[in-house]
Amino acid sequence: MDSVTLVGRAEELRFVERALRGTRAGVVVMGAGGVGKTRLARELTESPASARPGTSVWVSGTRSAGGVPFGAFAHLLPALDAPPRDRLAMGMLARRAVLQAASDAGLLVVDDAHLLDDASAVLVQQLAMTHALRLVVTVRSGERAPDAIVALWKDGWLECVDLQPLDRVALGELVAELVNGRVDPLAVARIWEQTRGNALFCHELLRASVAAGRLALDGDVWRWRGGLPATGRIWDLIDARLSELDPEDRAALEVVAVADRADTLLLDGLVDRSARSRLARRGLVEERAENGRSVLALSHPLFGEVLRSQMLDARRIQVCGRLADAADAHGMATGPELLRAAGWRLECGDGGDPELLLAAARRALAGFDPQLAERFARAALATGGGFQAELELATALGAQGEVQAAGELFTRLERDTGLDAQRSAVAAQWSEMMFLNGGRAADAADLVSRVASELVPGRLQDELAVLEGVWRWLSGGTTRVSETEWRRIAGRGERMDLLVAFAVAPMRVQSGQIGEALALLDGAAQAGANRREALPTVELTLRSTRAYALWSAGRLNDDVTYCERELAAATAAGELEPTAMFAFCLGGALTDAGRIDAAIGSLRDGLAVFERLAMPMYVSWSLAFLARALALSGDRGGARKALERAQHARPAQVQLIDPELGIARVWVLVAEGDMEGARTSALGLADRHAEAGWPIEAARALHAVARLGRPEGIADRLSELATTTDAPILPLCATHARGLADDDASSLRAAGEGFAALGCWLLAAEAFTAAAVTLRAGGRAASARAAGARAAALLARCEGARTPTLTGVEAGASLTRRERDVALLAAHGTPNREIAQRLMVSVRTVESHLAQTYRKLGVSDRRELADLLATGATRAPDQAAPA
Amino acid sequence: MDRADALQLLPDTYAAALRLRDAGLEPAEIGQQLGIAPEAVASALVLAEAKLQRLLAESP
Repeated sequence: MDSVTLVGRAEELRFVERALRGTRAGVVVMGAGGVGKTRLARELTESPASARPGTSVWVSGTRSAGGVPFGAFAHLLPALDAPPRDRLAMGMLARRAVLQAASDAGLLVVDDAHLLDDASAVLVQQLAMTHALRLVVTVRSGERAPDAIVALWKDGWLECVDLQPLDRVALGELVAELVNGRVDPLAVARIWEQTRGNALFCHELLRASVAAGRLALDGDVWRWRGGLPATGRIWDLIDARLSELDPEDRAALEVVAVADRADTLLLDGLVDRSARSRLARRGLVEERAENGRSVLALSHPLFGEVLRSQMLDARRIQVCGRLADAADAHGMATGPELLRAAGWRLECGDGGDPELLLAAARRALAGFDPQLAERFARAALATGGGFQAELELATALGAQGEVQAAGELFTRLERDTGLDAQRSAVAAQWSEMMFLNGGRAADAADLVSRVASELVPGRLQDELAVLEGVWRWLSGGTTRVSETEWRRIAGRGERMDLLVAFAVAPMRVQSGQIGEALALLDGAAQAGANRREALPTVELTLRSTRAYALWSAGRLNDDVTYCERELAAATAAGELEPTAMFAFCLGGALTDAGRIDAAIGSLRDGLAVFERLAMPMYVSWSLAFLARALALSGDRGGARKALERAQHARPAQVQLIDPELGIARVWVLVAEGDMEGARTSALGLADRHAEAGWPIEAARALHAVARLGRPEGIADRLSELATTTDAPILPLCATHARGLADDDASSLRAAGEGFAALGCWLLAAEAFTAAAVTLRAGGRAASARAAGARAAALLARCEGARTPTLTGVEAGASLTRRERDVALLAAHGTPNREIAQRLMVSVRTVESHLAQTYRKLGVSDRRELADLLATGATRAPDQAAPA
Repeated sequence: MDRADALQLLPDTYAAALRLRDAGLEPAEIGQQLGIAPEAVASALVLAEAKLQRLLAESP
């Protein structure tokens, strides 16, 4: 597992190359151990792309040679029976030897110069001062270097660059390069968290993780399974470094490791200040600002893994006890240190305060860490936490997909409690689990309806009414809460406003009122952030509804930017459910944008987590998007399989995902060459969605009909739908359809520009392609070339997306629509008899259309036709059906 | 992706170096704050700016 290419260091390489051509004698590259100093120098001197491949001279400082004068240069010195005894003569001899050895390239690399003996260091300094040759000198930060080496940068003889760890993007690239495949973003986040961009740690951690099966292939994606491996060279490397510590400093470091980025105030009485300074000087700890407070942290997270794994249980328990007491003494146990303080209490075997444990369970649930929440809830239950502990436990179990155990607990809680507040809380949490982890939206609505009817009228009843409205809407039923009722409920405080936004915003999106939905979401954003702990699912839904609104409006540039930002934050925080949610939302946006490869990756990432958390609606929804993306990529088999899985996974009680399932089916049929079936299916969808009052979904289906070669009459229907919504994509779809129907290049170009401005690259490419064909047919060659060039530029962003318009760019231009339908089916290997049945014409007509098509396109068989249309058909010649 | 987003993707030291420079600190003060040699501050700023521009250019 070695990286062939240097990743993430293009800027550093350019800087060093420039420095070597500059007025100074070279460059000092300093940086922490493992950051990649030597790798950079090797790239500079040994890469075939380098200006001086393989001709530089290397010397390396080592601890063992550090006490021997000129020890680092020994391999360059001539073998003499009687070496000069005085240092000056020896120095001159060494200098001559170096200059001779480096005569070709004139470049000397001094690696780990901080370990050089003094004589070697002085020689390096003299070589720099006299500009005798060019130097690249690497030095480890935080290590004491000989004065002559320090003078290289202090006195300005060499340029100086402090090499930093890789950034997140580069680390992701390095990981993918090392495992030679795509890596799940959650796994990359995990590796980032542990290595903080240190290339050596990354190499070693990956090596150990793959060997231990912790990082494993799932299909064609590497995913993380379980914890970190506790063996391997990385452990040995760190262990060797820590073994240099004296017992006092080691004990202090253990406290910092267990405290894990705790407030410096909290550690004041536990870690002696002089020990702290010594550890900082050694580069083992650092004080940094985090969220407005000062924390003491290990300078590298992997140090903590090693220290904690080597601590005896008794010692760890003792440290946890002292930390928990310190948190209490400083009043930090309920603030930002709540989770850690509660964890220390648990770890040291002190049951502690059930209120503290319950608060920690809620905080963990709000951080989408149900496993940790379960741990706290169980501890709270054991220390007398009662009803609330059982409720948090049931919620935590449900959020982990343990639906049966959670359901039994909810059932018992509902049966045993008589208080309205408790019954309402059970109904809310239970119904949420029924929907999210069971896809039982109708049952969830019935549950809250029943419980609400038994409560005293007031706030609790209103809250359940809101939930009932949401679950009914999701199940496809009509919400019983009227507009007047929503408004009445919304005016009753921040919490109710939040719940109403949670319920109403997605409904507004579905009915095409994007501006209103976004205004509701804007209004609720701050309240959502304030109440994340109390209503984590509501807050997450509000955030994902923004993505839904932007996607529905066709504002894909905005949607992709938003989803990428949310996804990055969620993966960095290690929050599973939000990570899956925004990977899914991003995948949807990328699919529509036409960035198909990225879309498929993102959708698969989200799907893997949704399956793990047993969230059937999102599993089915992700698969439906995946089917469409695969169909657009030309993977017919994969698309069909994903669609079948999506249909199988669809919960019977959730209808929200039906539009995507329907449109996925359309594009799978297209990929299979069944254009007539696809158009019929899309028309059916459009009628159903229009009747249901879902203008955007209806328009999506109608627009598909136009894109699939039947634009007549579609534009008027789209224009009419556009009057019922403020989604900017609808008028563009209407213009596009009109341009296709009327062969009107200016409409097509206008639609293309509009699509491009929104980030709908695929639709924009289609519109410009059609414009080019129309212009060419009209004899306007120059305009056609310009439109074609624009289409090509847009297509370049589309990562291989295939639609009938695009695959028939050149070939399809001269075919009639019927000829094109026949050609596409034939190119997919469909026998003539089947084509005839599908298109409801005679076999003789099919043969006639095919003969005409072959003549127009200058091809002689189906294989050539398939190649020309680039449909991905791969039949062997002897399997090809006769024309 | 805007400049603020790109800054978040940089290694901490580079991001901090740019923020401190934008806040008007001198190279020696930046070096002291970041724990790097004052002589390395200029190159850190050059590299940070170059990486930032790459991130911005590569964002879709």
